[in-house]
Amino acid sequence: MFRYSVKRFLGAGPTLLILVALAFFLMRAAPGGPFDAERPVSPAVRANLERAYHLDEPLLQQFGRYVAGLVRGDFGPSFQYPDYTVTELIREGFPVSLRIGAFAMLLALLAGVTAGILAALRQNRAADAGIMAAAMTGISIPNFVIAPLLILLFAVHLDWLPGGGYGDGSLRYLMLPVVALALPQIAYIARLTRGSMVEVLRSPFIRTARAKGLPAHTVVLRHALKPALLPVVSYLGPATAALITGSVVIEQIFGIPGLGRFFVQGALNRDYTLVLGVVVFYGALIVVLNLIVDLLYAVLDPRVRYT
Amino acid sequence: MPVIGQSPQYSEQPLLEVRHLDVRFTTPEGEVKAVDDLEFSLVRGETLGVVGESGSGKTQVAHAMLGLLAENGRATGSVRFAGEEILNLPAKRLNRIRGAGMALVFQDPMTSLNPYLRIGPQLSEALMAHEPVSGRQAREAACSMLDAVHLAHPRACLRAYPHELSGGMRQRVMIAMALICRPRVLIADEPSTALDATVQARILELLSELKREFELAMLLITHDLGVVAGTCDRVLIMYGGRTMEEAAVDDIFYRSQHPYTRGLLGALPRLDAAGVSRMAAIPGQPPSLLEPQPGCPFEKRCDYRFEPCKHQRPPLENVSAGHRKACHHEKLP
Repeated sequence: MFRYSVKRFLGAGPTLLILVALAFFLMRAAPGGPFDAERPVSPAVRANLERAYHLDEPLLQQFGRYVAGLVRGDFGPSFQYPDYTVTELIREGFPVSLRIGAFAMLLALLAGVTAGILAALRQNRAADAGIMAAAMTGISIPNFVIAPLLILLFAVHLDWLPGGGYGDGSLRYLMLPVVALALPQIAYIARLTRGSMVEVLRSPFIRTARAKGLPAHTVVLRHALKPALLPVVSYLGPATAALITGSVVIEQIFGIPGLGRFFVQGALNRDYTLVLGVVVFYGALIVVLNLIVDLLYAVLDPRVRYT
Repeated sequence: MPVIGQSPQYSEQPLLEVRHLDVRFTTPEGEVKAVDDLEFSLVRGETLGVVGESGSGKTQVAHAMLGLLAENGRATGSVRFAGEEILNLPAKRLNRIRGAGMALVFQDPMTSLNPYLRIGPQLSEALMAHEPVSGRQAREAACSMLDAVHLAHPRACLRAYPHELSGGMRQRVMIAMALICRPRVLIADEPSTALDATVQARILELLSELKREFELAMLLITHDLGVVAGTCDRVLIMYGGRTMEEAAVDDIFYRSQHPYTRGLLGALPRLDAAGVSRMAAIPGQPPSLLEPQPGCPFEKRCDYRFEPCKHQRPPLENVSAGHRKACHHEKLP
């Protein structure tokens, strides 16, 4: 398992390099630059700025410089927040995003798995149909629609929760963004769990468990849950990616000072290094999470061995 | 004065008594009657073989008795275990009998053990579900049970996952699991079918040995008359969900009065039949249970068929004491 992990880490290098290259050149292909302001600066100042940030060098040389910096763990300076490096901005924004993302993931797993199991146990009955209809709705409605609706209901009409901002980072402020972020994932995980649970419950070893005279909850929790969760575990990687993309939108709507908001503003301001930094950071995060998911698989299924 | 040599069923109350058992499945193509008016009983220490080809409903009998039918299945009739009606009991009450009073060994040991759990917990949980034992006592019981089914390294086995064992070993584990609560009735559903021929013989030997040791009544479900010969006291021949013939094992082999039983016997491969290159078989296919026929289910494939077979269902009639058959012919040549 250790050797496998090392191999996977080494394999992640090329993946990330391709990611960096794509992001780098796409960003540069977009029209405009970091110093195109509404009020034009004098050519001399502009030339100075470009020299300071090495924007006067040939593109390939800039790319090489950037990658070399990455290898040293240096994401470079931000173009828009002159006193900050990208590393500092990530360090500031990521904990906020992580908090929201982790809560959303937790909520998605707990609610999704529970709803999926309940639907599977009431297969083809009213409760099942209800849960699955709700899930289908949850999947179909994008979170940039759900978020304003939640704000409208809980912040404007009921006035229970703040309609935006991060405040002191307490649960009150987190509630709506977390729910908006988690809802589509709850729906997806519920459908996954239901499908695999229905299948597992039909398998011969479940019949064996029932033939032993085990109570129904033991049969479900001890015998069926683990195999039924395998598809959910393999979805954790894509789910993380979905939460990250979702957070970009959600943080914008709720005005939360997370990494997603930095990313959007960076992209609008052509803050090349900030956008690249966030892309690389999240890319690495997803690679690592996918590795953890694969290793988790071996823990859940004793027949899986990695060499 | 008791008659010597008579089957013990007349001297004792049966442990298991099945009457008018019907099993129906609702399918998209219509209703299927997998078991039709089945009747049999089992006394202590007796082994009854239930024989039929695939699709004859024999497995559904086992599943129906313990409430293990698939979602779309429904059983009606009566199943009495030790005098108590158990058919269609709610799962909670049935759980007292499942495993503890009546246990099941399934056909395919590859898929019938949970691949995600170690052998040890799978064995001990069966005991702990029925008896107030500690985890430690249950583990010890599991270990001695594995020893009783002659697994070489019971302790190592307890820690193994099913995929780390061979097919024969897994079936031994299944048997140990079925017997750990000392049930009075063991239902073995094709216990040797999924195994190699040599392993088959050993598993059957083991079952016979354990049957004596644990004083079990056994329902042995099989498609193989060869298996029946060495292990059973009585045999019930099923076809199309119905009983064709039921008799003591010798009566089945030497005095069969049903064309289907004779067909099965004729299809047994023989070592002494030198020069015959093709195996004998009953021509035709088992009937589709979707279109129930008014007459005898075997009519289309039967060499002895005559007019009544097509329209009239042959009743199950006594041929002699303990020997019954469902055939319109008074006596076969």
